[in-house]
Amino acid sequence: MTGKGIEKAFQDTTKMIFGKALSGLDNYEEWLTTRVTKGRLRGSSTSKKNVYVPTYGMFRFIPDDRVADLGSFMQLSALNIPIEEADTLASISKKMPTLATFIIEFEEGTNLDVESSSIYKNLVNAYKIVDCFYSKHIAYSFFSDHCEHAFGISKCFNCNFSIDVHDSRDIIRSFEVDFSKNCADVMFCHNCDNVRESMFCFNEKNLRYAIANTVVGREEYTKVKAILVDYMLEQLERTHKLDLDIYNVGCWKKL
Amino acid sequence: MANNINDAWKSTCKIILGSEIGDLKDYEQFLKRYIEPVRKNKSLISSKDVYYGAPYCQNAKFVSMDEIEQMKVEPLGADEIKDIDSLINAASERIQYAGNKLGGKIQDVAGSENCSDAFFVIDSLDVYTSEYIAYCQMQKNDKYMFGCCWCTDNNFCINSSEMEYANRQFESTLSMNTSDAYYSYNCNGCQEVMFCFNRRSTRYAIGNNQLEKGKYLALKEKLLNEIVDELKKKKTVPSLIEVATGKVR
Repeated sequence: MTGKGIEKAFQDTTKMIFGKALSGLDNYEEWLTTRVTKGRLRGSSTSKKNVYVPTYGMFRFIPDDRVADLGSFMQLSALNIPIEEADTLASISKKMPTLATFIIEFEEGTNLDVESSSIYKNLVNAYKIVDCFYSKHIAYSFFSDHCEHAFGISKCFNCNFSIDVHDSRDIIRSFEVDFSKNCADVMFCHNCDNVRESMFCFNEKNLRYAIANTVVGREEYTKVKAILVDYMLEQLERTHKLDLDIYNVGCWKKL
Repeated sequence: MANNINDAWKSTCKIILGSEIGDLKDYEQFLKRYIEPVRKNKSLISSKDVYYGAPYCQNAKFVSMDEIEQMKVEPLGADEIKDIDSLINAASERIQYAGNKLGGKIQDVAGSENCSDAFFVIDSLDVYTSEYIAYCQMQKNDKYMFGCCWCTDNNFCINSSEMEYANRQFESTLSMNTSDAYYSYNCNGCQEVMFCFNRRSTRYAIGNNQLEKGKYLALKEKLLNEIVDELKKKKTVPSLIEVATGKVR
């Protein structure tokens, strides 16, 4: 369940992007984690705590009954198995289950109000994140540093007041962005650099008030943006998700 | 210094396992165990292979990063932005996803995406300031890494992940400032450890038991010979998880 702090941050962010605040961050979890490497909440095998187990790399293969929280370290570190000269890979493997418990949590620096997360440093107000450092007001995100008011982002640096941004840096007030940098107030943009107040742009630099790489001017852009935002808000408020995203817009077909 | 990625693989095997085990291409499946696949499609402009890592929809249009200057995009017409359906359809018809995103100084990088200042890299994603990298993901300041992911400042590692300042690792995860670790997890500041879990500042240990140096090295050699034999025969060995959960017979 999300705390009040992260809920407010989500409302502030959606108000900034869509002009209207969306409430009930929990309801949007499935949508926000569609394209993000998320975790799975599991009980620690050594205490009553819950552990947020990442689902990437080697972590995704760890059995649920073999995870442990960071507080169990001293206890687990003291375990050992008898070793003999005649041991083989198979004989050692047979003894390993008494020793092999995977501590998933990694925490460093000063952290405040971080819930259901793993691998982090210097975070304030974070929820269900994996591998995020030096950030605040961030939820459902992965491998991102120096971000603020960010939801559903992955592999980003310095992204603020943004939702569903991936492989990007220096992004602000943006939505559904991939592999871009130095952009502000953009939606559904891919591989853009220094693009502002634009939508559906790709492989472009230095644009403003553009739609699908065509500069349309401020008045026309504002009109079209209102149409798009109305469409998205209606779907989000009704279903808590949006079917369109930056990865599928390239072959979008109306049902 | 290796002349190519295959030579680098052989050197790495010799350093970690004590013996060469054959060509890199024979171990492709073994080394892809922990990484996300590099995806491939054809360029709209030249039909050449476009490699990418993001989950772009397969039927979209793709272009290689070095061909973007040649990209042609129909200007948007007024009719195409009159309502939401026409807007999204117009955008959908035009968007071209860029792949083969390579930047900085690059040499001998193939089948890879999002690499920068990288040398001798194959079938990998997100490689920065690294050299001799194969079947890896998210590598920074690494050298001689095979089947590894999410690593920074490491050398000579095979099928290992989440490491920093680690050297000579095999099927190990969460190693910081650790060297010569095999089938180990969450070992920091350790040297010469096998089958160790959740240890700090440990040396010459197997199964979390600290051994006398001579005894450790003798058993290490015996176990590595077994691993090398199995690799040569089956082109794979059990994973860290399989060993840790008692599944090896």
